[in-house]
Amino acid sequence: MEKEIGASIVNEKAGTNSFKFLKSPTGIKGFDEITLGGLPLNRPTLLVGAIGCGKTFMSMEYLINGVEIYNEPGVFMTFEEKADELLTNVSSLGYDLNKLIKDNKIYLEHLEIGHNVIKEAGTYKIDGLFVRLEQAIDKVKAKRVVLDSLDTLFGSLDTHILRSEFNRLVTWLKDKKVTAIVTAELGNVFVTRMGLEELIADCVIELSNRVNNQISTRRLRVLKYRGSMHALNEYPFVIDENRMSVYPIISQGLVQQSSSEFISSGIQKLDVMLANKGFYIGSSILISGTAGTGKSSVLASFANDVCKKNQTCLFCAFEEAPNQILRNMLSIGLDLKPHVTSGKLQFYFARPSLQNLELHFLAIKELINTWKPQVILLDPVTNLMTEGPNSDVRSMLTRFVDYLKTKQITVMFAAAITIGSIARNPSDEGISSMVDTWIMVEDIELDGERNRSMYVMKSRGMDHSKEVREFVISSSGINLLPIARNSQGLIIGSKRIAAEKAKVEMAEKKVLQNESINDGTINR
Amino acid sequence: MNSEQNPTSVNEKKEENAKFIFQLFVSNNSAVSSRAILNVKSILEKKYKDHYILDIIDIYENPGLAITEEVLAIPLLIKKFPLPEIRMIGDFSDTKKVLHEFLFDIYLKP
Repeated sequence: MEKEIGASIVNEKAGTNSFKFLKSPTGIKGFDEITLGGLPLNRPTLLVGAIGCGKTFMSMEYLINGVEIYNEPGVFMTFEEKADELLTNVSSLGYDLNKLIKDNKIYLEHLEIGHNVIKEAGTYKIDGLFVRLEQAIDKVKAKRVVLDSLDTLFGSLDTHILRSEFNRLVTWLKDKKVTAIVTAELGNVFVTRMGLEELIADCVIELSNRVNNQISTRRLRVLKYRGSMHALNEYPFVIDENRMSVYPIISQGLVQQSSSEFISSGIQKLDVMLANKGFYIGSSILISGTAGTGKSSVLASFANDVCKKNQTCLFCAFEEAPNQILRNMLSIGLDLKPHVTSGKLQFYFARPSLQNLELHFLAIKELINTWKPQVILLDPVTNLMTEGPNSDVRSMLTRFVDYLKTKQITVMFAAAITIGSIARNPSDEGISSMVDTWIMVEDIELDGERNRSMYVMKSRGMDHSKEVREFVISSSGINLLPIARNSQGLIIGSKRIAAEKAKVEMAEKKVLQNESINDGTINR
Repeated sequence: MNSEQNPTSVNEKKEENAKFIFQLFVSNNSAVSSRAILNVKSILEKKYKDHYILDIIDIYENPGLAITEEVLAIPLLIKKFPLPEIRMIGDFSDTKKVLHEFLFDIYLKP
């Protein structure tokens, strides 16, 4: 065979005294990051997982990316699905496997196991598999091989023979200088059902699929990677209609730019409270409050202002449909429709329970990457909390906020809280630590009347107002008014209106008096 | 072991007195296979003297046939005729087991 490229690179590198562990990149988003390059080159990798975790899919993606991105042909040997069934299944996920097979880039073979009941008498070997593999590898000059799955292959064999034969298979694959993925079902006692993991000792990857609150999330973990660093955590991954993507936390990190420029909140008086400027560009803003305090209105007026300034805004609505938002906001004098038609405002609308969090964020990320909005609104983020344990949501949000910060996108969340939850849990579901500016909208109940108030709880990096203001939503928009106090208490709501009216009447009276006095002087 | 006829298709063989047709898939370079060939030959010879055909096929030399017959484990002995087709893997050292599981057609005994 031709001289191995990999080996020569090692020698060169060894000469310069900087050894590099050679890897075969998978081309799967995020996976190459957590394994720092991909699967171990020319070695077999064990891919374990329970049923329906995406083992076959991930292996197929590895092969197809191999052809499409790295120009390395591959062999897929299946013992489970018939070749044509597999073709149909994979094409439903958007791959044109037929073409790759026609072009001799991928060789797909189905090996029927035990189509006749096989009886055993004494020891035996599985050279039949080697012969077939060899033929297949030579046919397309494969660099990548997938065997799917181990359990079906060895299901009917004797355990002792199985172990020695599996060992021979691993050695054979290494000799053949192919990077292989061998899939296996997750076992109870051992990682694999037959305890074969110690034989493939180079790299073991585990996929799992857990259901929390009726929503299932796929996760991936690198159990072992001999000779290489790898990330240790369990990472969520998704298979959408296009591709598989893994979400590593490490891909972000805290290296963000910090802008010192400002963006207006869209409410002039709120800008005044925020050091007369507004929010920092690229910062995260949390608007929290109990039901019906006007959180969405704050978001909408921010959106309105952003679009008016010819910037783009993505409104992620998890509660109301876009049409409903447009209608409702019209009632407070915010006409968002022109922004939608001009394409400056776009909605992402989905029920949180539609899919798992990762898929929501994947969809939003897709929009961000293609459309590049300057501002993102999430209304309300607390609806996602029903979606999974709070810790999951929090870590997902943290990653998301980090991601947005690296992109210098300003994000505003609304969080619906229950009365008293602030007293019980001042950090507000634990998401307040990830936000830069936290604005509270609250109800003040006084004399049988509920009135809204607003204050800035925190705002990093600016001298913000600590004042509680009356927050008035009327058909002409949002306004913030100072709350006065007299000997009877707060003057808010109808009292304020009454007081204002009285003031106006007083002033009018004064004017009239003045006028009459003036008249008098003239007459005289 | 190479004294056996060249591997040819079973259908081409039409010996008048052949009542039993077998295929034995092996790899010539392994000890298990040599043992299997010897064992199978001695069993068949004892049982069906002159009334059988045994094709010995080296899967490395004849991979095409190995693929069409879906050979996975070797040595593999297939009884092609009479039907039903029966498959057995191993070195066939356990004569009794082979006879019991495999060559049970007593009523067809010549």
